[in-house]
Amino acid sequence: MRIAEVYIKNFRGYGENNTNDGMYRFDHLDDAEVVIFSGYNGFGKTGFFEAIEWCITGKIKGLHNTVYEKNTMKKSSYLKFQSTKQKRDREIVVCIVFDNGWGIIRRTKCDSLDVHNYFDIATDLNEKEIKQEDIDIILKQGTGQTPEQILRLSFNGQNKNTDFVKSTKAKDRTSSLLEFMGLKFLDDIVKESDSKNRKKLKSRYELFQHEYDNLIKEIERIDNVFQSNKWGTIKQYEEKIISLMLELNSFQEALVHTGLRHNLPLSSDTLNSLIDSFSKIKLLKENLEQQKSEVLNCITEAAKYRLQYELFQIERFLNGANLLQETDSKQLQEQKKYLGSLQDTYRRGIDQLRLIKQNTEINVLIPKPISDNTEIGITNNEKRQYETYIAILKKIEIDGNQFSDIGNYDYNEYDIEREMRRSEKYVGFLKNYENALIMKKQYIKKVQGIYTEQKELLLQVQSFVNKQSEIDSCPVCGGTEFIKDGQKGKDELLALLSAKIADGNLDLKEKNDELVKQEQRLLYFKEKVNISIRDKYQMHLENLKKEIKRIKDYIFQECDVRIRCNEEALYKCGTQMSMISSKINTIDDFARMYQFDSGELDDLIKKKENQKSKIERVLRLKFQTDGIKDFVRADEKKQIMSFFRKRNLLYKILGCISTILEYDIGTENQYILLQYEEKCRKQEKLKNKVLLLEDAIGFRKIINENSKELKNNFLETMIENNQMINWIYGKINPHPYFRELNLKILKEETSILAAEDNDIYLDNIFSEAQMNVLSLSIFLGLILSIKNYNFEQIFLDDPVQSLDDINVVSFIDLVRALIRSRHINKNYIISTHDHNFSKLLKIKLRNYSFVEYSFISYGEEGPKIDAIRNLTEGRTR
Amino acid sequence: MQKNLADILKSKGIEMEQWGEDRIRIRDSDRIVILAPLNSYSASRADQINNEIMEMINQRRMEAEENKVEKYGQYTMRQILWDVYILYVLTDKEKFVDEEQVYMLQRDKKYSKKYLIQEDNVEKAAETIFRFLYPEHYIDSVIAKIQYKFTDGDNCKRICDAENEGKRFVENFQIRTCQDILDFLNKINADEYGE
Repeated sequence: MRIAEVYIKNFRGYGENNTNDGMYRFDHLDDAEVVIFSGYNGFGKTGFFEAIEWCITGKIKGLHNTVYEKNTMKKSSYLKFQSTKQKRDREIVVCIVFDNGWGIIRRTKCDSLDVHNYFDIATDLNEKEIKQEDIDIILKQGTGQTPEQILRLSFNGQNKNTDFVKSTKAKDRTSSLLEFMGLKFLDDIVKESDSKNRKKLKSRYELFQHEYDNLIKEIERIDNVFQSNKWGTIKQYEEKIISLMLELNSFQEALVHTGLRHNLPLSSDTLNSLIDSFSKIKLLKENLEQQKSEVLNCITEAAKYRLQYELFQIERFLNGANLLQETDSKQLQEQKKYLGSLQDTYRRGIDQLRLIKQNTEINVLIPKPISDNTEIGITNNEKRQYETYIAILKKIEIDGNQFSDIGNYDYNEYDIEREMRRSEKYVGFLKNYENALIMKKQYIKKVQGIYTEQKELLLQVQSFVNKQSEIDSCPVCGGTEFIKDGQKGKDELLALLSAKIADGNLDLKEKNDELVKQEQRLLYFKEKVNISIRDKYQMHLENLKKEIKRIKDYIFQECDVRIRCNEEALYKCGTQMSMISSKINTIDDFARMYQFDSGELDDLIKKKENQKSKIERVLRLKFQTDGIKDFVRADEKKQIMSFFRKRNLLYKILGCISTILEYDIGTENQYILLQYEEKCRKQEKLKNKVLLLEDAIGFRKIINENSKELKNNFLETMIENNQMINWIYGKINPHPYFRELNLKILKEETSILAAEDNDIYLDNIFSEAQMNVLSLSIFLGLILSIKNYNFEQIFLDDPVQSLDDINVVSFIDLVRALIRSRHINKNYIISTHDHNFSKLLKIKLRNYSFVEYSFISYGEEGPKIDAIRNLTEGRTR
Repeated sequence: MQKNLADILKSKGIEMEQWGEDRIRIRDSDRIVILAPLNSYSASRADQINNEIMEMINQRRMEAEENKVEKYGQYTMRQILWDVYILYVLTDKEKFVDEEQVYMLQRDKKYSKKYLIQEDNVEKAAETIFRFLYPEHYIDSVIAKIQYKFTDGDNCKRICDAENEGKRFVENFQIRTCQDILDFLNKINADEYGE
């Protein structure tokens, strides 16, 4: 995992860049083999490193340790960019994009990391808020380390450079190295698990052990006192009581099963509860005794019931026997047979009557009357209808005769044939008359047409003549006969025309009047025919219908009366039949139940009567009751066996309780037992404590031994025998004589010795520059030796400060060698204030990919940066 | 003897060319590396040899500028001078010099970076040269040997002896990580533990 891009705005020395979003952008941080940040002091190179730290952790450790905690700059604005010219509200934004595409954006408007007022928001690149814990998890998954550890391992800052070597004590140096490698916990574990340093656990264990031993002695003493009783040791006594309790509790299921009421299970967890149980058991005993007496009462009741039952059986026998003696069985059978045949007759009668009703209903199905009042006279259909009614009447009269009914209808009063003939005669006459009228109507219509045409012609002539002053002759025919001598022709002709028109109108009126008279006469005839033919028909048809209905109702009434009589008779027969059958059954049952010879019956009757009187005497004397009058109420007492079972169970439980009560220790021993139990409880608790502490001591010992071994092993592998540290040191070679290191760890103290002379402690004789080389060697040597650390970048903040030229060249050779290594898959982000160094770096890395961010000047909104990218020449990752 | 050294280096895959009378130039894309035997001279002549070599390089530089004989990408020969390495080799034990002289020779800042290899065993001398030329081979071999891995879970198991003696405790005290161990220790070392 590598950081690919970093964006910064308003963070420390960085203001707002001259871009759309105002961000300072640093890209290709992942694909260049070396990234160089060059520029003068204060231009923001270290700020870049701090921006990364703030973005992934939300803190700046260097500032915390120095500025903040010293309380000097608590309220100063060291986090946010402060412009002397543009005072405005600014937001700090730092964004980091990793090579896998994931990234973090952290924002705040706070000026400083003041613990009380500071807050920020971290999001991913999609602006979705993420918590610091999530960032830690994601980075740990990607790199194998937490963000803080990544910063410790991969960011070699100016302050951290000499942390290891400048430690005042060799022991602190070991701790410092372990902390650097993220193994501070190992050091802490060794310290915390060392029994020489941490003595409290052991002393507490010894204290508890002593207390425990004393308690055991005290318990033994109490037990000895208790043994003076007859029950053995307290343990034995407890076991005995528990077993008895268990036995008692085991009756619970049986109690539930038999329906007795009491919740038995008694607690037997502790001695104390056992002692408490005695009082409960006494109460239980009382309760069970009461239940026992109830059960015994029930048993007595059941005995009474039993006797009554016996009595019932005897009486049943005697009834049967008496019946047998008194009754003739054959006669009973014959009566039963006779009654059976009688029942059949009644049933048949009922069936026949129902059939008559049914037939009558069918016969009287009268067709729907056909009537057409528009007709004159009787139609053929009406004649057929009348004949159908006559046929129905005749049929139903036959049925009615069965019930003594003689029909009332006079068949001779109305002869349909004759009436039909009359009807046809009159209707024929009316038809002819009607036809003559129709012809006359047509004739008048025709004449009326001619008159109208003639009238119109005469009116036209009249109009023409009126327009003439005078005429000499007829303008139509030219005749002159209408002109009288000495008179004018016009008036004559007009008078003649008017007379002709008036004659025509009069003639037409006369003809129409005649026709109206004849039509009235026809209507009169029709009415006459209707009264004498049709109305008569209707009246006789209605009479016919009434007669049919009367006979039908009569038949139904008579049938219903007879059916009711038959049903009553049938019911009576049934009653008699069941009585006879019951008698027969009783005799049969008796004979079947008591199989004996007929000669023995008398003896048996006597015997049973004897028994009966005995039982009656017992019932009277012992239970103050007569006969079997309570027998029905005592139904529930049939389960006499269950009462016996209950009684037996109660005897058993009460027996068990008596045994338990023999162990009732009384109040004088209770105190001893309570004391014993309390001590035992304490002993148990103490035992657990002692075991817990024993475990803790044992485990602590294991932890101490193994953590020491692990620590030593680590120090041996990573420090003492780490050839990388020595090689890097030798490569830069800062001292004329001491060209090899010997990192020696003895009694957890790490000493930096010269390999050439083990009495020389190099940290004591080295200059600042040499110390830088020493710490750089240890830093790089350690970081390059960790195998499963996947953050593939190393940030070196001004690594060559105060180095001479030769050492600088050696350092660059070292970087070149590291780039060429196949096992080390990392790139290097190096910042420097030294222009020559950056120039030399570029020259010597000309065959490798690199990016240089050159901080060329510093303006109102922060640094001005030039970027040089040489990416094509480098080796591909 | 020098020939032997050259043969051994050739056998290690190093490409070389004769550079003057008795010097060898090792072909390298990054640097100008000159192998200068000192057996025929004394170490005090190193400075003179350095001058001679630099004169030859300078001559080459001028030829390169005029005739473009040699190219180093976009960089001038002047810049390449920062990448000149002279490896003095002394295999004659009698002529070996003391540490002070070695230091003086190697720290000489004039023009090039110089190394003095004193080794009477030619094989070993060749090995030293090879290591100088290809330090990455050495780095790779060293890194491959170091087996240390950060694994909190493994460390925890190892500290607790979780597979054997400590198995019961790890389960009882629910120890999963090194932080759990530390928490456990803090707990048992506290005054109230066991109360």
